[in-house]
Amino acid sequence: MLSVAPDAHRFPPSQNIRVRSWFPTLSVMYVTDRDRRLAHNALTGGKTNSGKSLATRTDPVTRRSLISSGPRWSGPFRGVAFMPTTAPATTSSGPSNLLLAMLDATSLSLLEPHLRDITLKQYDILQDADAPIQYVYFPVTAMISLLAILETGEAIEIAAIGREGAVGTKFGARPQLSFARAIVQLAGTALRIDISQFHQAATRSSAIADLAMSANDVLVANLQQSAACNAIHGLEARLARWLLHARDRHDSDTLPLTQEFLSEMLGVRRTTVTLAARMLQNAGVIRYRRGHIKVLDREGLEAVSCECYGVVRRNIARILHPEF
Amino acid sequence: MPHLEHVPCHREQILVDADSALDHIFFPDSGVVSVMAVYSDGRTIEMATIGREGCAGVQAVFGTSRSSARYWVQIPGSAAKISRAAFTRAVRQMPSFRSLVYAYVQAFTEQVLLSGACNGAHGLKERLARWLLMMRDRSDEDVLPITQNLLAEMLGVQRPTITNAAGELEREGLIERGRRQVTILNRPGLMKASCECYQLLRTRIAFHLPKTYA
Repeated sequence: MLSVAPDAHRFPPSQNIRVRSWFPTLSVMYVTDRDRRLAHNALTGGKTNSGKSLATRTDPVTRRSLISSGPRWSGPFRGVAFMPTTAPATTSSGPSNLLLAMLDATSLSLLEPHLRDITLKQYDILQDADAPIQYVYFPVTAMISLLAILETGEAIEIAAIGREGAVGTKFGARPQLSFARAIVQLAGTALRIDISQFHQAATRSSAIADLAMSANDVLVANLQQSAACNAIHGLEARLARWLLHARDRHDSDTLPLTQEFLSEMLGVRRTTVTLAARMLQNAGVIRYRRGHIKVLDREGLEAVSCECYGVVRRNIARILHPEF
Repeated sequence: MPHLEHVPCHREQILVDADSALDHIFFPDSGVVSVMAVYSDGRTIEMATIGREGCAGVQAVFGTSRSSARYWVQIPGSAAKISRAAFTRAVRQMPSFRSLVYAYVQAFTEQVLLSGACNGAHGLKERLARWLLMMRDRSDEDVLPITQNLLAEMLGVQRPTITNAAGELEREGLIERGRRQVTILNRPGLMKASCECYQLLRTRIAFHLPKTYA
């Protein structure tokens, strides 16, 4: 998977010495079995299920239409302000990506012929830092994490994106390089479009261009919040926030997440995350089993979490969902 | 640039407050502006740092009219101020300005991303060294007019905790603490004490904005 590595020629020659320091980062990818699997899946972007038109395409699990034909804002956040007690698996009109659901019919028709519904496997790498962006992903039931890759090879989650957003809507700078690694945190479905097709549609429809901008606005606001949260809040609160974000975007209380994965996402040792998880379990808000974490008491989890959880949700509401 | 107005930025001045209208964008000529998160109990913490390599309020390019963050003058200086309307007009009409603004958005996003990850993963001493180096880059002075209280607030820790970390750097001869200032005595040494995030950040900024701190 050498395509993952940044090409030195993209940098000014004077930067080459520093750029070399990125290679150890990437070589970490091949160390463990899971990393081999990551490398194997890297940048394949999951498998395309079919090329059927959206009208007839359905979610493979629920058999419902992938694009909502219902009212705007029909999603897990509707009418529940910032503290939903449950995130319904599907609405009456089926699961959908909320960004796409915001578009008017004309704009959506520009994207529709090029959208493919795909299934994303857990740990698939969709984009890597400094590698060209190939696709824009609109998660439906999948949840995608953006990771910052530190010099030491640590990959730390700094934002999570589910059906309320999109990954890869970067704009402007050429060539289109991803600034972060995007991996699939929770397996599920997504809609995918070639980046060039997306840009073509965005030049023809200002609604699409505006939506991409708004998605970026939310992203930057939430990245900022994570930076603040990581500096100021304890691991227990951060873990609780992280589980809540995952729960919001997942249709079940049971999250298929290992503690090893959690410790990587949160940038702490495995034993440290185990302690924090044990505290949450002793408080009765979660129960963990090998490879799974079950949310038992959502409100309790919110009480443990820092207010950054609410801030992130409000950023989404303020920029993308004014009706809230 | 008929729309640019040069204004002084006073210490601890709030250029744009959190959750308020983003009416102006500020391009610092000198000094440092901190992007702050404001929590409901009034606690604040720095989320990003802006100097003459960029501008405060670049989110206007996304079409937003409100700011989620507080822009707060950390080290006094001056800035060129432009109304949001004139800024967005310039982005729309001038392709060269647009590319520049987009490049800065990239650089800024990466700064936030990397410092966020660093905040989560690295120890206070490394973070403190990184933060001082970033201040030094943006203010061009070895003497940083920063109190220990401010340091603690910026890094989101208690005052005694920051005193310990700064004390360690001082004992290693890298910095000197004064009553209302921190002096950088040994910049290469401080770079060694810092995590590699500092170099990584500089590399990323230089990549997007070659004419800044390269």
